[in-house]
Amino acid sequence: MLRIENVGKTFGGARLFGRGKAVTALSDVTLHVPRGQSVGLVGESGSGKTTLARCVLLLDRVTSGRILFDGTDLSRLTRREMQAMRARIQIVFQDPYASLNPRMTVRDTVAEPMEIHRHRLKLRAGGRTDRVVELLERVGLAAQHLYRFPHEFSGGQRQRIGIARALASAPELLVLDEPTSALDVSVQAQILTLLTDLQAQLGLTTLFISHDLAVVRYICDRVAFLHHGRVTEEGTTEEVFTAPRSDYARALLAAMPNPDPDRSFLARG
Amino acid sequence: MSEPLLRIADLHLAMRSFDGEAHVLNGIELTVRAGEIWGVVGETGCGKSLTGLSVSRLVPSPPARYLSGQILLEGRDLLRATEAEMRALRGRRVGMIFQDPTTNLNPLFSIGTQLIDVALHAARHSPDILDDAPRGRRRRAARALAVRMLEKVGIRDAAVRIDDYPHQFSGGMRQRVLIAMALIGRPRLLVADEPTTALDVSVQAQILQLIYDLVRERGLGVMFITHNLAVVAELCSHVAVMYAGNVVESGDVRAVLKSPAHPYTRALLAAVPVAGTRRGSLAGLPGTVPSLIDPPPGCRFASRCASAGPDCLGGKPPMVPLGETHQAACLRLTSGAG
Repeated sequence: MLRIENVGKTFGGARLFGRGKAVTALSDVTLHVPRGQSVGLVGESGSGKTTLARCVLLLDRVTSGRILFDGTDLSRLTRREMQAMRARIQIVFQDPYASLNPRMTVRDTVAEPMEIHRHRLKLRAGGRTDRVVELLERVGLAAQHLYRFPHEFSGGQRQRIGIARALASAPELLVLDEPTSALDVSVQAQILTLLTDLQAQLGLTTLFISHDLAVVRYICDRVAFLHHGRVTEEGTTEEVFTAPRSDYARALLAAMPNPDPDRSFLARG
Repeated sequence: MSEPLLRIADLHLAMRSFDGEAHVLNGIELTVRAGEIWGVVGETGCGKSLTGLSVSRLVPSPPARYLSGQILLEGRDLLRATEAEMRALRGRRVGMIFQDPTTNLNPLFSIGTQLIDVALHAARHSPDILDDAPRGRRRRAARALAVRMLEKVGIRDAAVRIDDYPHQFSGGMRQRVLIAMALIGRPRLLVADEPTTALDVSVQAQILQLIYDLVRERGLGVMFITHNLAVVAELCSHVAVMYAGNVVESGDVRAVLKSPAHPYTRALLAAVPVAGTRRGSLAGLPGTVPSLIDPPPGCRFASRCASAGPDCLGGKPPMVPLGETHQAACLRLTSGAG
């Protein structure tokens, strides 16, 4: 479905006066996201998770290597093709307080991608509202929420709206960039349940970016660890969590707090 | 047992808002002794931070109003202290660290200047912090102490780095600087409000280790506010679970996390995925924390509780002792505790 092959990404180099030092954000990243599966991308801040996501979403161009989506090389697309491709790859952002326009109603927020991609979706303007209601119901909201504004919703509800918007253009690949890290555990559990349901119902393929190892272990089929722009470990979730091969993955897993007080890593007297 | 460092007794706090007055703390009870690390957990809006801020009297009033109760710090009621008295206590008896290490350091001053200021301020009331240095030598003594504190919290080349500015440190390093700053006045009580939430897991592990070591070394009492139950299990000796302005369950960390009695504690634990949680089996907690402006009568958790009955709305459920150090406030404990 999604094949990331030897991708490198370098930023900068050019400065206002003379040349600055270039920053290598990604080097030789190879990752495969099979259709219908959920792949977790784990790493600390600055490891290149978000840069990779931006490249997949065509918001940044890769410096080297290529990203194949369904056999199409994303870095060779023209602007028009890129625009059409965006309907098939959508994203849910981390902060549901910042990623919704406060002056747009829920109906307009969710309908906007349908309007942008109207040629592909072939929905008449009248049909869009019905489709919005359908999507809201799918994410656990209802028709009564159509004409409300984001501030009237809780964090968990806003994230549901963000998910409905991402689903509006009927994407095949969903990139989830830390979708639950701004939420309480109780709400996080609801959103994770929603995501697993959606995946089962719609056969979505997801790239799940997170620094929360417990969440990744729960929701992902495969997982890749990113460290300083390189993939240090990749495999099925089971393999990686039970028998990590790289030192980095081992260190990160050891630092993961355990909710069982008897297994605390701090020596207790 | 020794006299508690901190005892919060029946603390009620109301907060004025546009829609009316919200009763945000509804009779908080919490006792922290030296050497104990109390995890304070609960969802957003349950009053965890307000409880922590109350200990330093940093809740602005108005809009806040303390209705009743006591906050006893080493036997002295902070709710009766004047602002001048509180200034003398902050940093010297109570140290605080907050979630975001970036916004809590002044970007315009070197970290040394900021640490020295705190040390000098604390030394005004307890000169022994600077080994009773005479007037002219206090600044030099404070600087030496700042270097020692930075070394203690694990900043390498502290004597050089003390003149660096906050932007020259990483997030984890800044949090270490803030811990040094909170402890430079030798407080006995540390209030840490989500100190590791903004950090990566590997850095979080280091900060938890640091707090743990400092507690063992100095016999500090700690109030560690977090929403992460795994962090509580890792670090804390005790835990208080808060819901809508009440402590609903508290006690020894093993007792509470291994045999949770209150339905809310159970729901929180069930929402955290652990090794072996089957996909799709994670139980979310439906609904949200009720409005505290006109809170429902009786148990505030009743509206989201699966085992609630009509009697739950009768009045605030009393704390029921379940063991030597374990108690919960629920009428359904016998049927609930499994």
